[in-house]
Amino acid sequence: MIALEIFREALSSLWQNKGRTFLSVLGIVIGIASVIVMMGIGQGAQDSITSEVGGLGTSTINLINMSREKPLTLKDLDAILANDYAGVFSAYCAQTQGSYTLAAGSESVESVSVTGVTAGYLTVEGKTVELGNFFDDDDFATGNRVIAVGQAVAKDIYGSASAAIGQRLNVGTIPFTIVAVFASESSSGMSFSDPDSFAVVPLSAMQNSLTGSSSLGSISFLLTDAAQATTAKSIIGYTMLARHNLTDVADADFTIFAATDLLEVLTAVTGTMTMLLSGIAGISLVVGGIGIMNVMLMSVMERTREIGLRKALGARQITLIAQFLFEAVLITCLGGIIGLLIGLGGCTAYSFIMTQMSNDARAVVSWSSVILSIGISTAIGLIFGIYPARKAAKLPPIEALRTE
Amino acid sequence: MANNIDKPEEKPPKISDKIVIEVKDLVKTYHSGAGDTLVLKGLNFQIHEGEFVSIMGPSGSGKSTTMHILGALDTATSGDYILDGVNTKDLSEDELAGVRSRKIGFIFQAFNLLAHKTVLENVMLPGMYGHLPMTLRHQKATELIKLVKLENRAHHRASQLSGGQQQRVAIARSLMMDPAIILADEPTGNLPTDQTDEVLRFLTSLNRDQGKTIIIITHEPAVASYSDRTIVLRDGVITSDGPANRNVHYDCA
Ligand SMILES: Nc1ncnc2c1ncn2[C@@H]1O[C@H](COP(=O)(O)OP(=O)(O)O)[C@@H](O)[C@H]1O
Ligand SMILES: [Mg+2]
Repeated sequence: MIALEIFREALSSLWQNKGRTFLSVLGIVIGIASVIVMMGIGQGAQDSITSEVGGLGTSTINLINMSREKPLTLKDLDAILANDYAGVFSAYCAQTQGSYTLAAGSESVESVSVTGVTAGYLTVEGKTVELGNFFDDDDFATGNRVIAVGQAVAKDIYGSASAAIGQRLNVGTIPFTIVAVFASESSSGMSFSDPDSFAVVPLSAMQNSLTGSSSLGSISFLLTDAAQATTAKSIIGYTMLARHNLTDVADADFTIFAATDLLEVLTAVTGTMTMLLSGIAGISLVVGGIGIMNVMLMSVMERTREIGLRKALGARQITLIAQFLFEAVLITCLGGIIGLLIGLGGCTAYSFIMTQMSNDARAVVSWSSVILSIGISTAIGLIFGIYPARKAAKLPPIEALRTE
Repeated sequence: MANNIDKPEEKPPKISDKIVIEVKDLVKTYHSGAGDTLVLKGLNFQIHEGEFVSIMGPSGSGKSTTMHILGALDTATSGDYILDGVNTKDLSEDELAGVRSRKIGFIFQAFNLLAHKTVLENVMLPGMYGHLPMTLRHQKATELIKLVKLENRAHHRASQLSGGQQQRVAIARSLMMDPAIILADEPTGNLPTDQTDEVLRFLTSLNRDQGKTIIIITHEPAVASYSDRTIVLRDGVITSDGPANRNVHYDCA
């Protein structure tokens, strides 16, 4: 018999048993859609962690002041740089930070982070100036009371970035002149504060006019090569230990923090996420697969009688197997397409809801999850659609007819 | 209750010399968890072309088992079944499918129609497996449906018909490939008396007018009385084989 005729019989069989066909397709739809959504959510979580890690900047090292008696000063910086024979540091920035009320006229903003910085600031922190000119050598050297502000500060006090340039701004009670406004930054998922609400002044101005002290909060170093983090840490560490007359690292009254340290932790977290993701994918594939298997097995088993009858009417085994193959292919294709669409819709809906809830979580559909879910579901659908039919078709007709 | 129903076919059967069915030492054993059951204990009989034979016997005596083997729906444990001169032992699976398709029309007690298909589709089904061209299949099925007087039900689903109507569909279906042999396993067992008579008259006319060989299983003497020869089975053994008693009426059954 020609394939077309068997195909037509398969189609009419599916059409005439709409309820059973619907259930079979539904089983496959649920299997595929749930795998795509589950894997999408897992993949999204992993992507967001990876991008957080990427945003950290892996090539900076911070030396952080921990001591009142022997506070960090620019002399420490000079000593460290003097020991950098290998040239591992490409840029550096000494900083000291405080929280001040910024005010101009009747407008004011409280508790803004104001940092005194040295010349390497823009390079080390990766900041860009949108309007105006950042501090020049003279500003850094002489302690001119100039200030560069973040977008939020400019908008809150002056209404816009351009309106802020050249204006006077009181830091606490000390007047400064705004010379630059930084470009706006997108919020990193990890901090809750507005990344544009800050201000920067030359370190000399900070020390002369605001803190009245020569102590530093920290020094940031930019590495020529991220792979030299260990060398860089030991240069900083041994210089500081020597300057503080210490021999044991355990006694150190300073902290050296490398972004790579955090990276290691986060890489471990990402590894756990990957495991979790694979676990979720595996479980959803198994659950979806068992669902599809049951639905296909049940629908074919209950048709053993039908197979027996068709054989009694003269059908050959190969004809019957071909019919059930066509039926299984039609069901898995239909279920696969609908399941894929629902899975994609589910991922979009999840991302949308998370956006509405101001949550960073997203569901990301990857080709691998689509291919994996459709591939495995189709394979299971075909195997469990055809295998029992093949078995039934091999029985003597009367035995197949006798099964309840 | 109808009594003294006239057998319409008082013309004699046209029985040829040709033996279409021959059974030699036919044995069937069922294997199950509880052990083996010997159901047919060595049957021997021959049936000529054009005969109308009834197989009788109490329930469980092996009538259906015999019929399934004759219909190539099951195989014997030992012994030979020679159909049209060919020993069915020597046939492959596909050749057996061919036998079921072309040589034999099987009518079941339980009708065994595909409930979701229409009357027309059910009747046409053997035509598909027998490779009849679509137009011929359709034309033939339509004729057969007219023959069993169901033309105004052709597009109803099988599940919407009464038992008698379903059995008529099954008869029409068994004739689709124009087989020389019709096997009917208690075809009237599930039917009320008036429909029984109709079905039996129809089978008789197939025998008398078209010369088809017919074997019918029944445990009702009134049904057997339509046939020309009765084989009686008891516990898997033939206890008698001879001319049917044609003077039995429904009220005696
Ligand atoms: N598939 C089977 N497995 C085991 N025993 C069976 C099977 N089919 C029939 N039998 C047994 O074989 C005997 C004959 O059955 P059957 O041929 O159906 O009798 P009848 O049609 O004369 O009533 C019965 O005892 C029945 O229980
Ligand atoms: Mg029986």
